[in-house]
Amino acid sequence: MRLGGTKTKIALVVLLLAGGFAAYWAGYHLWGRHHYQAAQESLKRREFRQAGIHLRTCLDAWPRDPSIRLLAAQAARRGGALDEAKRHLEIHATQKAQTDERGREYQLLYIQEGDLRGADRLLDRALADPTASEEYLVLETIIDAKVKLLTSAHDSGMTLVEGPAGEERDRTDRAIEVWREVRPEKADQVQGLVWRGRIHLLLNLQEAAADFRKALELDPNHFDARLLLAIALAESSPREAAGHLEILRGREPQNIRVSIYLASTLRGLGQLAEAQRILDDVLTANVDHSQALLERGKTALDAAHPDEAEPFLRRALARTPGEPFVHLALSRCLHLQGKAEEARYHQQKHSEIESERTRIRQLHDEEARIAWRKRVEQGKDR
Amino acid sequence: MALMTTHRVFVWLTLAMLLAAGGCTDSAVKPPPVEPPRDDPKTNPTGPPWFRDVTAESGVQFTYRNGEEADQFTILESLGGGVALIDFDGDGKLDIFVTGGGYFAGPDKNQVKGHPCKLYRNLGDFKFEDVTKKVGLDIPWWYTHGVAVADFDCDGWPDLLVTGYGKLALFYNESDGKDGRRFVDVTEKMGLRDDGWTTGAGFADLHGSGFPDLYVCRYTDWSFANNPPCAGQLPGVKRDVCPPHRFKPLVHALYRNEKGKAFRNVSAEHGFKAEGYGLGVILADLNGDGRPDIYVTNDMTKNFLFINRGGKLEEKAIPAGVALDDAGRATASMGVDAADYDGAGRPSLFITNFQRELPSLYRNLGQELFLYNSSAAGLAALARTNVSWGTAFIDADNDGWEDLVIVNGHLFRQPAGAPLKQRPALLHNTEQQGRRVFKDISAQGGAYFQDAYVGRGLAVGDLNNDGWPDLVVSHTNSPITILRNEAAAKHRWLGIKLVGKDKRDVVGSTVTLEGSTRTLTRFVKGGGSYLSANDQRIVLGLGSSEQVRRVTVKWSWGKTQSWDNLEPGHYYELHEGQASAKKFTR
Repeated sequence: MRLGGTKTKIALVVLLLAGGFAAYWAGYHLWGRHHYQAAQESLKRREFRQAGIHLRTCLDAWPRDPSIRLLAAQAARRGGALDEAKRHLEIHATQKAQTDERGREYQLLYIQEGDLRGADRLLDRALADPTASEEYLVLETIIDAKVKLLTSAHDSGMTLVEGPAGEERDRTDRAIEVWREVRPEKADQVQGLVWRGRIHLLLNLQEAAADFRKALELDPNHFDARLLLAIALAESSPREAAGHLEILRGREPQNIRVSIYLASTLRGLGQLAEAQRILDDVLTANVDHSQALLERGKTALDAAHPDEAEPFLRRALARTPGEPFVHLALSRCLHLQGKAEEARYHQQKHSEIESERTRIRQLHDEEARIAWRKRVEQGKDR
Repeated sequence: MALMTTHRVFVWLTLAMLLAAGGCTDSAVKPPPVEPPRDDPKTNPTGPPWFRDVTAESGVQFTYRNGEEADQFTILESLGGGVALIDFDGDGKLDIFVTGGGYFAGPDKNQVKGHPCKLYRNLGDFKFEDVTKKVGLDIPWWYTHGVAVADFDCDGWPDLLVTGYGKLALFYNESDGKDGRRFVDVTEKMGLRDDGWTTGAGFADLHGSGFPDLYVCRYTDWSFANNPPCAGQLPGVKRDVCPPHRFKPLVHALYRNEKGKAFRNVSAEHGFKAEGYGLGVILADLNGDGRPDIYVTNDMTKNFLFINRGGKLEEKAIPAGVALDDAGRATASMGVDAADYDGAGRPSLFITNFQRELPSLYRNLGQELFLYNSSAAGLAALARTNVSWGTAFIDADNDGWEDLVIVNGHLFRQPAGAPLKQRPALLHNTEQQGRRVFKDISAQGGAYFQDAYVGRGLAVGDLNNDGWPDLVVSHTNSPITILRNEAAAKHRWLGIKLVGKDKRDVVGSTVTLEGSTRTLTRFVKGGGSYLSANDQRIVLGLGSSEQVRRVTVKWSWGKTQSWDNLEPGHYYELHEGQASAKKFTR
């Protein structure tokens, strides 16, 4: 009886342990499954970093699952974490899995890094059958790369109206329209509008603003769309642009770029006290932020307080002695205080640095144009 | 231990189930932000409009035409035309002269021809009649742009100078022998031959002779032999008008007035070089030394400031801080005006610029130093999609603070990032955080300010002598507009006309009004705005309570004279050397 009781106890414990293990195993996989679903949801919302976090949890549960590994690589790449994407692909290569999917993922990763070899061939295939499985990844990567390519062409002084850059623009516009037709999900529609708006930003600010407005109608919390709308409106409606920047600053008070941009916009609106308050906040947390120091100095200059501006501008100069606009602002500041000789020195430095920069920019632009054409040709390499 | 494990398993399991069942999401649901209001000048006007378009009933039907229908895409088409407000017949009412532009004739459409200019006589109550033929101005015109007004021979009658492509002409205002006036072309006789491309012009006595000298802006060396094709700004636009940097700038011209008998070109004596695509010029005492100085706006090249050192000109735009904007860039400058906008008693400079540039406000700090103050004055609130031309400081509501009017319109036929037709702007000078700032109150301006135009020239003057300055605007290829000032403010005013001894030129003189609470300073200016000529009289807005204690005139030849107890609501002629002011009303 006692022996029987002991056996029963042992059996119970074993059963409990087995049951517990089974439950633990089941729970763990359920937990993994939950994260897999959450990752899919995040991907649908184009929240790639969040998707990556979920997928890493999934990989804890199923470290040998090549499909999750590939998905993790895609999520990392789409979120801009290219090194992490490469690590996932290296592990994927050690697993029994389809190599062509990994090959395509590598190719998209290289395109994302700026190597456009074969991009047009991939794009043509994607455009020919855009609804085919995973072709959206190709469309997305190449559109994004081409928007960057057009921006660099524009920055190096090429016209997007005609010629090779104009052809690239036409082609990218077409790809974006296809994307918007085949990707009806809200986040993808927003992304399509943001791409189109970014191209318009290089050509037509009104149309750019219209695209970013549509994007925000779909997703009022889209940070990039709001920031880009503020940029598009900066010239035509600076008061409204300031309103959008206020919203962004409310969302990300620590975002220095947004804070300085807002302060600069408010300074332009004559709201010097507000601009000063924001810049003082930035400088409290980032004592030597050169752009904030320059902007703070210019705000004091605008208020006709050159004595107040001078220390800010001198600190900005100490941080960035090669920045011509700091020399120019300091020159104006000193000039207004009657320090004519030193003012002339900084005026001269401004002119020298600007001339040198112009010379270098012209050389660089020419090189950039040659490199640009080479990249476009690489893209056409079939 | 086992129980603990079991418990943990259950906790995990439950949590997993809950999470899975809950379909939890990552993004915390953020409430949508409250969208900032859109800038829309069509909204929120308060009170009655300040200006009413009275063109339709005025009898003035006129359009400046630029000849674009020939599809030559010449840069000539981009500049537009101007307006002069001139009391040519001495009846006390301002008349309107408008330049006509031109077109391209011949089998290849490469012969530059002119449309007629017109002179409209003011009949009172905003009614005008076309007297062009009657005064002898029905002549073969060339491709015209600008106009300037001065009494070049000091005979008491204002004369006309017209600029344009291939010819500059001076028209002498003389009696027609029948109790009327007529204009006679005295260009050749006065030695003013210029077959280049002239734009803005202005008069002032720079040499202290009493007779007004002449500054003429000159633009580029464009001709049909030098007419390169320029690509458009937008996809699919093969050709558009070229920007000026595709051409060489011309040397500006300064003509010395030889006692009303001749003009002598003294540009070389003053060391003028081909360094600016000249468009606008203003002559006023900018450094407070009593002599008129010269400020020149150049397209895409640095602006000029010639300080008058007793007839010698010293170019010091860079050291004075008025050559470039605050980023050290030469702006594409068009129109210009000067006024004491901040109550400092000194004339600050306001310049209209191209798209993507702020208008430049150079605040005069004294001692020939200016502070670029566009941002601080709230001017960055204006749309930088605008290409701005004619402009004027105008105390539109007579509150004693100089407001601003700007007319806009693109120069490219199919511009990128901006419309061809653009809304004008009315900016009210208001106080903010202890500073003077300009607030866009275009919504208050009336219907004209709600529509878009290809605006160019702008002239300001009191067309009905009611003490409220009116506006006349020239547009390219659409009719000119006359705007009657009907600002509702119950503010008082005082009008002043300066008359120098022997009718000598008064540009460069300064008028100071000492009131009960403020001192107002106004300047007699030559040139200004864009291709246009304003009313030479000065209106001082007195607000609702300002009392006039004393008016002091610092004549441009150094003398100072004061008048007391002038009565608001009237115009006065202040004659040099005469103790009493001569009142003249409507």
